[in-house]
Amino acid sequence: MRIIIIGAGKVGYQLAETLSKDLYDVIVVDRDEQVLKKVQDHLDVLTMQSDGFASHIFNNIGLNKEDIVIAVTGSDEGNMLICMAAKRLGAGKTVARIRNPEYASDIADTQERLSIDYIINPELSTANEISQILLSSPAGQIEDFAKGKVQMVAIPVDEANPLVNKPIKDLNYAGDILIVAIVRKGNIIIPKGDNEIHANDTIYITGQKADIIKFCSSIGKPPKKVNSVMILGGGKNTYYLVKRLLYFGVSVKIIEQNLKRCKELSAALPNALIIHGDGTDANLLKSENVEAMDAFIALTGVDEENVLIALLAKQLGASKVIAKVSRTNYISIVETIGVDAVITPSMITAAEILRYIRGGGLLSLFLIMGGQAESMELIANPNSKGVNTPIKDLNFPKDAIICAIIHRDQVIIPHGNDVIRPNDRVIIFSKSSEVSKVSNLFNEQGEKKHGFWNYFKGTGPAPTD
Amino acid sequence: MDFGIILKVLGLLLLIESAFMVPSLGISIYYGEYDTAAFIFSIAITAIAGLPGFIFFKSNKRESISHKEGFMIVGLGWIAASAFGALPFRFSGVCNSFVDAYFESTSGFTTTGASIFKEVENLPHGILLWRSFTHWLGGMGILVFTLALLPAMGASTIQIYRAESTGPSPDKLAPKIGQTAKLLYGVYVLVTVIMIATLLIAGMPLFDAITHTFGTVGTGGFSVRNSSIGSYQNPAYDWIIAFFMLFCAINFSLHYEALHGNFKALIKDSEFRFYAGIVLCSITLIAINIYPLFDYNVMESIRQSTFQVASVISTTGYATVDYNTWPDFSKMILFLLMLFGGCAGSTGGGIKHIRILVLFKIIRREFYKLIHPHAVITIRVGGKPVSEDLLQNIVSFVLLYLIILILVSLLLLTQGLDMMSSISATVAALSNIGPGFGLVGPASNYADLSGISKIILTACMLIGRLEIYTLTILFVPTFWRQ
Repeated sequence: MRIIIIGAGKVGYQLAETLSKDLYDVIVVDRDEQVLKKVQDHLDVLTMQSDGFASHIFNNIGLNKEDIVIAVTGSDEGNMLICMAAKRLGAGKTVARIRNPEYASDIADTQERLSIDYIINPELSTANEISQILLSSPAGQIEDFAKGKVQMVAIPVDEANPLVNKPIKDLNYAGDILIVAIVRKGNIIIPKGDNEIHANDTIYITGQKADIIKFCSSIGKPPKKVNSVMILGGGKNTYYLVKRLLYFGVSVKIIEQNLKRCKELSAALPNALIIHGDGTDANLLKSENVEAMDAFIALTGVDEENVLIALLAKQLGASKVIAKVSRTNYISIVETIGVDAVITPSMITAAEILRYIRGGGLLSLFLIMGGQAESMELIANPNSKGVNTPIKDLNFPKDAIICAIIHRDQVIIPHGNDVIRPNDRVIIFSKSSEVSKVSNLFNEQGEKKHGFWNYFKGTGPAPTD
Repeated sequence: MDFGIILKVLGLLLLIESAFMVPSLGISIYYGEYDTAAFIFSIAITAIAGLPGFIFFKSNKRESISHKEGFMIVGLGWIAASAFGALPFRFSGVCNSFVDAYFESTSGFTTTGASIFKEVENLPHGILLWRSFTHWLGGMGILVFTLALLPAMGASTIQIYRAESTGPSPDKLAPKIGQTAKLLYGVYVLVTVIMIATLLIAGMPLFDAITHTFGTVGTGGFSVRNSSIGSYQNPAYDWIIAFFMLFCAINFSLHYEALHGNFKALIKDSEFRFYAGIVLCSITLIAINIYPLFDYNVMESIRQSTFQVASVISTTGYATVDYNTWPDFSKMILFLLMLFGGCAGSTGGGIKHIRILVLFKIIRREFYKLIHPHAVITIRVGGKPVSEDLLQNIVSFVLLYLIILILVSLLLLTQGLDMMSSISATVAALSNIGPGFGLVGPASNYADLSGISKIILTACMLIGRLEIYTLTILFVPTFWRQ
């Protein structure tokens, strides 16, 4: 199976990086030679330069039923055309990024005729992610598994926290939860009993929702319902997010610089308060009562502005601040300087496409810390190595951890002696280097590794080393 | 710079090399000759040297290998592989000094084929096999082989592939570098097997067929006979070997395409067309020129001309006659072919046809620009535009090649060689051919050169095989600054 990614922007690059580490054969196509050079230097993928339309590239490499084409160029229309061409030339599956809200609503009906198997709308996904953080979380980042039965949340730890500087095995806290990862200075640590949590770390915990709330209360961070939100920037993200927030009865203020856009928004979102003004102006924020806000979200197009204004809002008294940061290089710094949650659209988009591609037993998947780690939910195949063996005998990779097992609707926070039964749902947190090892544990065995000669003769798929 | 990863790859490289000495040990035991102990010691030492690096060093980062590390790995890798490959020659006593052994081993790995042995027919079989086998390994690249076995590194190893492969911009056959390496070696093994079979059918003894095949597909040139292929006096052998020499000087990606039934790719490739044109012209011109020498026998002069042209343009260095005695016109053509070498992505050495082709196009563009000063002209090869960066790279490559050629020739002149011998010896080393003209012609060897000359030529062989930049960059001070 080959994955052909058209467009080597942020999402394209992120996808290529994760998929090539997953041992897929990845081909990246772009117009810009410079961009491709960067890809070629850093990733083990094939790059192809194409001046215009991608169909001659498709002809060149000869698409087949196994191949997946992902169109993530800057143009919605272009992406649609690419998918049509790819399907016509024999691609198995096509994925297109379509971000224009006007198309998004129309396209649901015509999707099949357009030969697009899966449509991704980054702004919509991002908005969903943010609303999830706001509506259900006591913490920063939050991911739902098993339809919300199990959650994974990121909690920033400060000096006053009772967890600090004690080995994990000696910690006392309420709630049956598991500490699955510690993020320290941008590095992810999968903790063992002897590891300690330090101030300024971020910890990822999993457990049932009720247990997580108990845990948060026990460390002095009780959850708080979000009733009012201020959003800076009135882009497409904001539009989708506000629609959702209003639906849940949250009151929303939007600050937008462009008067024309303000008018458009006010027409589209009658229940939101739209304010025309410069969000970098502290006085404006104060006069709009930022200190009373339960959350402040910076969604402008400029990363630096988002981070700084989020910090300013925090200083002015907003209880929770979230910043959109598009460049993944910044993520590790931003979370350490006081922004409660960072949203990276390219990461969310990539995760959604990955989820679609890996498919099979995979139910959910999230990319953590710029793709350094993944958390995923999968169904243990009855014929896999991982079932019916106590976890401690599984030879589980060191850089991965089983967060929860869902056995017949019952959530088990696992210990060494627990056993994963066939068709259980398993939630796993893993550094990206171990993902293929971990998923192999729970995927079907059998089907011998195809020989090199089959591939060489062109009859078999590529050898997976 | 991450020395952990460098030592790890070098460690694996040495382990592979020691494993590759085992067949020679087997042959030596089979024939019961005196080189058995030498191979046992060499295998042990090479493995022991490689083991700690491979086991103990870990890369302290998971990022891709940088340009610098790529150059380091390939540069040091080749120096080390040649050094350890020299051990059997020294331990068995067939070489009297380590300089000689190192010269022979480097000549093998770089597929040069310049020998310091006067009497190869007296050498034990194990040594002969090892000599030829180094050609086979060096032809496609030892590190490319390592890459095929190196999937677990997690790091992008494209830098190693680029630094070792021949030609200005090596292309990948498959999305993954490990696969590309496997596919290339797949084609390579296939060609090797076919050639051995063909030679056997033509009647060559098995041992000779194997060693000459290694020498041919790697475009090396070590023979197991004193007077090379000429000693057999068998036209069938000449044609087979000439064909495979020409074949292996063509880009292996094109062979891979052809194996998949895509012969068009080969015919359409502009470098291949240029190469084919040069080969045909040279054969014709030389055949006409040497016609009187072979008693006005048409077939004979065509065969001799074809074999010698194939041998020189593919940078192999086998000979069926002593072309030193040919007219100067033929010798000049052969000399030019020495500079040209094979195609990019082949096992051949030299400047490579693609670079020469681009160079001509650059010159043509300069003329155009003199006539139309404001013209913007994109140089294309096979319809695809060549970036200005690559053009610069090619021009400076050729310039650097010529500079090194002149400097080394001057150095050799101080060692008592005549002009013809020193220039041709330098080209023969830089382009990885083997025999040159004059004192180092096909009928003679490098045994009587001074120690210093041998060291200089050894360096030239490595520089030439690694396409100049990879090795010379290690001697640029900026490279070592943090």
